[in-house]
Amino acid sequence: MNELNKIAGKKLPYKVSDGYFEKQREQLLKIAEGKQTTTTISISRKWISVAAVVAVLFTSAGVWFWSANKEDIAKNDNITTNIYSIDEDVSEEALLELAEADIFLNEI
Amino acid sequence: MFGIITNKQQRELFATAVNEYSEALYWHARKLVVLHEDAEDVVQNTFAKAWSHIGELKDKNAIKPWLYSIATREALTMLRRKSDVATDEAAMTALLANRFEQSNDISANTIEATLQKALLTLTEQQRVVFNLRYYEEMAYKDISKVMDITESTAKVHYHNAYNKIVEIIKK
Repeated sequence: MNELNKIAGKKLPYKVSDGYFEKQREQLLKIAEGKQTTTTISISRKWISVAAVVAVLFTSAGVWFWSANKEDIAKNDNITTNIYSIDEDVSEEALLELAEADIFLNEI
Repeated sequence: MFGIITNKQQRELFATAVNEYSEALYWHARKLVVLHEDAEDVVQNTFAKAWSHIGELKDKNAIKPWLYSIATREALTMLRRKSDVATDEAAMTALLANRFEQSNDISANTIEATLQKALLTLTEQQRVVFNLRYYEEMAYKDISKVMDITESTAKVHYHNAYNKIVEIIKK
């Protein structure tokens, strides 16, 4: 397989101007630096976006939690307490109501 | 903020790649596309893509076949885009021969020019494999990575290309 190398060698017939490759290297590195800045900015933007989304989520969760608690407090305010005296002659219906009320209050 | 260290490493690796391979990649591209301006564009596009994906490169030792792979794809895509002949080998050979004749910056009537003309008559795959093996002295293992073919296929392409070129040169 060295036959071709002996006949034609490995030289190329193409030419470039003097100092072309130095200029090419400089250009390539400059392009990379430009993209580097863009990449850094886009990474910062990405993190800012993530932070914004997280902040919105936390705020929404906070508002939801606060409003849910507010509703519970309002419900508790509406609970009326019936007082029964043991000495009185209490009907079976009233006793059942009392028992249910106790269970409800215990659950709370 | 989190990308600063990674970007610095990427920049160093990229700078090494530019310093070590930009010239060799230009010649590789030039052999494929013939015209200087197109070879220049191929190298620019190659390094632009390399920069975008250099962070994904797991093995730094694989950078050479990786860069050649990008450059080869860029060169062949450029030729197809400019030729309007898609993958028609005969039309591609005619196009490349025409480009060769049109170029002002070629040492015509030399054995090197004859070899290049002979190269342009090969099929696309033969041409790439021949260039990588003969000029770059790349191992078949790396050629198979560049071309995304098996080592055996690369050897067959080189063998066929070599015989065809020797035949043309000897005429």
